[in-house]
Amino acid sequence: MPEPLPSDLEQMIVSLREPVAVDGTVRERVLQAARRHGVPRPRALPGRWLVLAPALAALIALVFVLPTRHEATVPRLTPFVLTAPHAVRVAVVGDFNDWDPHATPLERLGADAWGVMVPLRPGRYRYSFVLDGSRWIADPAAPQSSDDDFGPRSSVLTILPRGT
Amino acid sequence: MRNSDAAMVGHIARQSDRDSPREGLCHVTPTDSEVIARVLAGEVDAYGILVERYQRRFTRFATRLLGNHEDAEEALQDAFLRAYRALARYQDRQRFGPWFYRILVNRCRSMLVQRRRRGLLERDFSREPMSRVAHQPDGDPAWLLRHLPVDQREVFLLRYVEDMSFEDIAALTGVNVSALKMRVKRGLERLRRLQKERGYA
Repeated sequence: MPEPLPSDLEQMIVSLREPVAVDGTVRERVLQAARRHGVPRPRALPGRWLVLAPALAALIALVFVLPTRHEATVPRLTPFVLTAPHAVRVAVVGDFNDWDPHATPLERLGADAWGVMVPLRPGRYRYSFVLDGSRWIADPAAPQSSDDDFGPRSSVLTILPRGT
Repeated sequence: MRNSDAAMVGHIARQSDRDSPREGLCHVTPTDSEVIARVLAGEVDAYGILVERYQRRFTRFATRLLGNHEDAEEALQDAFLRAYRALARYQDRQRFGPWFYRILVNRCRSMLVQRRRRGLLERDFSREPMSRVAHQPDGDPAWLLRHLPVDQREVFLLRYVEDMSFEDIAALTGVNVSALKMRVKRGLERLRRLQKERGYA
């Protein structure tokens, strides 16, 4: 049995419930982009890439050590650490992983602490921790996002380019 | 039309293979996880099924939240693409709806912030004193809604416009029920004050 609408706001709510036209071109635009992107693949490297892993590692090392003008885009390994003694699993979600609770799990670092290192390019990121797959919390050790208008609170992190 | 939409939105938070819609005897509607399996098997165009399904469910919500239909379409399109690119990494395929919702809401939030920074959006009325707000022109529902802080606006829309239960909203947003009820209570109080001061009560 649905709860009755607040009578003094009923007129406003009825108006807001008016259907909104659905743009039929969105589907085709999304599909065109999806076709260009190809079939989604996991980020994990396929087996054949393992053969090239040493060369790939050397290339990454070069990118990290060479003081180039591309430093503004070089990813920096960023630690995410949380004290959560009662959690069974912990993940970090944010702008960098599409807020996917399965993408970046933290590992236990002892009885209470959890942690993970995430390569992030310089920029500003909002993020939260997800405890046991459902409880979203902000990072108690980081400032909260000032533009955090929606949903659970999130924290904000700014990665500066190397050398700054 | 509205009731059926609302009922479908109510399903999103708990959607699973078991309760996903299967309509009619001849036309079996694939569940979200079935569609995702087809996409990951190479049938990219099957993603259009999810686009249609969730665009229908969330267009009104995004439009009311952003106060602008064009922005809502842009946020939806962007959210669909982000979800598509991350599809293979998202393992809980029976809960595509709540996951997509979270991506969409984050896109809406970013869009509001970006527009405000670029000065394209009107002032953030929700942070202004009521006395000043009450002297602004117009009093239509969209205008009133813009004067709610966005976390209250989001829950107000899900509860009263999309007709979802607090339990479903909690599953969708990850915010607990008591916090949601508090947001709705504060939102209603602010709307009532606005209406009273503007003489719309």
